[in-house]
Amino acid sequence: MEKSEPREAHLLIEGVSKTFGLRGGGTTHALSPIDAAVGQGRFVSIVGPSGCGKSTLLNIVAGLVKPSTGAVSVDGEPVRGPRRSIGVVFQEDSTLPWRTVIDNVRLGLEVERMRKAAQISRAREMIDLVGLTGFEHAYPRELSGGMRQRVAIARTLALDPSVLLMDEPFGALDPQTRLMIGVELLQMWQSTNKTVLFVTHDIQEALLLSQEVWVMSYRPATIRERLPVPFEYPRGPELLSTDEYQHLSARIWSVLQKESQRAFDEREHLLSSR
Amino acid sequence: MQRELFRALWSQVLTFFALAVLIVAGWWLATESGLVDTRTFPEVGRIIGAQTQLSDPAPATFLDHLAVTTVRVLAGLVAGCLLGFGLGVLFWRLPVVGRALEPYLLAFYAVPLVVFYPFLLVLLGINSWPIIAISTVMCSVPVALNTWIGFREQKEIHKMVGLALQMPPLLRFRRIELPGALPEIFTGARVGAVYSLVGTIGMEFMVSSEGLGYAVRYQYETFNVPSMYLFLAATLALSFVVVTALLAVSAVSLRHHG
Amino acid sequence: MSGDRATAAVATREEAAALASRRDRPAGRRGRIPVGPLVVLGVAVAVWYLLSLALFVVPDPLATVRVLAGNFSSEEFTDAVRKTAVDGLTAFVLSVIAGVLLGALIGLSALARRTLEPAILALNGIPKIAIYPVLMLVFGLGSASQVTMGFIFGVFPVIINFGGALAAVPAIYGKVARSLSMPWHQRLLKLDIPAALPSLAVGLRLAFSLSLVGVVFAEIIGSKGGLGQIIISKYTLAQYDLMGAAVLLLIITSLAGTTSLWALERRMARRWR
Repeated sequence: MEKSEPREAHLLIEGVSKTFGLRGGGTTHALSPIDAAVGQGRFVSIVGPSGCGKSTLLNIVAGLVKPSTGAVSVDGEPVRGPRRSIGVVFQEDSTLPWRTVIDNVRLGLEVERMRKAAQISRAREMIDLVGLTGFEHAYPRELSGGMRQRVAIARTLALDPSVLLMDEPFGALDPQTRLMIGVELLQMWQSTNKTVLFVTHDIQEALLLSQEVWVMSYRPATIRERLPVPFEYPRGPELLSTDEYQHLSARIWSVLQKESQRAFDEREHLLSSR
Repeated sequence: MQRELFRALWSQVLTFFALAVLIVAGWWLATESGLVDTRTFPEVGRIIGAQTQLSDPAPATFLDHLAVTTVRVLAGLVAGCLLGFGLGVLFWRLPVVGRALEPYLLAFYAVPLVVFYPFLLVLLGINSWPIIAISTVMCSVPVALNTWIGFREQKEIHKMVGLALQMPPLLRFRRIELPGALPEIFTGARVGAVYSLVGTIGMEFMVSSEGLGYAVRYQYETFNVPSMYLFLAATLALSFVVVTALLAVSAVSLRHHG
Repeated sequence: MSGDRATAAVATREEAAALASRRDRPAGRRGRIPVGPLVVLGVAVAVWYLLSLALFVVPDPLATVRVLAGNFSSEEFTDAVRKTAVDGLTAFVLSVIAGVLLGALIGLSALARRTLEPAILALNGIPKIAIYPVLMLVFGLGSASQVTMGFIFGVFPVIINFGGALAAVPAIYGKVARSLSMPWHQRLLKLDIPAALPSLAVGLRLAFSLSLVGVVFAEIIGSKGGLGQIIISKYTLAQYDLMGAAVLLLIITSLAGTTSLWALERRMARRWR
């Protein structure tokens, strides 16, 4: 799974680091150089303590943020800005409240000079895929948080990206909804064969969804561990009580715990030195 | 937003009618009971039956004056909204310009723009143009300030969506930024409408020879007190219609905004 | 800035409440020389100068300042300045007193809010200058008419801003007060009023400028004196330099007043965050 398998690498992250200038001088080293590769159609989760730079890494892969060093490439093509082969789903509700579901899903298609009828049929397909059939003409405010997030997913999938980046997409949802929508995401992933990079801080979610989990350290963030998740899909609740699951979960948790402690100490130190 | 605006609309309509009824009833009681001087506050019947024809200088009718003022107010409102929108977008795109002008725009409240009217009279002539100019400028200031706020305070997440979907700037403006700023722009336009009315009627008091403001002034100076009140009522009614219509337009336009 | 919404034709509670929290000005610009505004001032003076070359009615900047300085101590000018200043300040003070009282009533009593507030918002949405002839009928051409006009202009933003802010005091403060068994007057003094102060500052700035606008507007339309009267009488007499001097004086005064109240408002907004 390292750089030594370039033929399989669909998404390649090479020496990517990020340093932010602080207001009033000084810098924060958010990411130390990171190297990683993801094969076509893989589902990878990234877990890490809050504020560690998971989102920064994702935004760099998306082309929304420029890395300080290094480069990202998809199928050997460098990513220099947002591109249509990379789709992003944000944590916050990103639906436009003044547009209906179908118009929200259509938003990205309007960029291509696609015929309106074609846009609509494509949008309908996507709405179907995320299970919102019947809600095409509803406005976001009439939908639950989970449904709005599906709209955002449909909007992203409508462009048929080969890489799907998800930044804690279900973070704002309640645990039950989160579980259900996770199962649906897996079905969509399996039927579309996209490469997924999924940021979360929920170990269980990471282990239930992905084929591989990257555990990140606190700043400057590196990938501390890359753990293959060997379980077969579909993954039911019985998985949670197996020894293998428990073992993996405990291992991730111990790394996370250490890194979170560092993060906590550093922040407390900052506060007390003020 | 949507429900709030519709509620505000109904509340406004009901309140205006309630106020009108209260004022007329109070007026009637006060005048009929002899509590007030009927030379200053004539009886309701005399106001309603008052003559609306101004004897001099032009034989304009009530409707003529109403039409003139309506045209001036609407012209000022439309031009003011366009000018204000343009300025607001400019300030958003070039914050340096916006920040440099901001104190002066705020102080606009402190400088009755009408003090410039003599210059405008010489510049534009004694006709409708100086009035429309004042009305436009007064209307444009709140529109500009609110447009600026609307664009500046876009939701971060909506900006990200535009970037992530790789929308070209013009499409982003039309599909995301403009709709996002629209509620603020409409707020500015509603404030602007009142200023457009103030500018028009104030200028008509001073410089015009037609329009409702002129008619009120004329009747005041010729001691036609009942007629003065009739024209005044027409002025207030026109203001109510303009302000309420704009509120209705914003409520309908923004009905899907969250 | 968002204070402009205070005079909204229909300021919903949300609009009024948003006033205090909407200023996202970068901090730390205090005390620096305002280069931008000074450049604008320079451009304005240049445009003024060019206009003065093109139009006989526009006196040139230097001449205007000289005339202003020369006439500043003349009896006609000092009388007018004193009259406008006294009337403007009276209108402002009355606006603030009445506005705070009515605002408190609306902000603290749900009943008053439901009945009075819509009426106040509706009245605020009409061009108030239209009723000036009635004031002239009732009070004549003396100061009483102009002060009343200034008061009517100035009182609304105080009521709307202060009342709106009092009504929007976070519910958690009420819980805090109850959990500490605070008596009502302490709650008012220690929680509600401090929470509403930034919005009151917005109201004060608007009341100041609008009171002055009301007085001068009224003076122009019909009065026995004041700067507004000077402007119109000098215009009629074609003494454009004197007219320009009066306009300039008015602009300087009101700019100075607004700018200092704006500074106060921003300082409060910063402290209250």
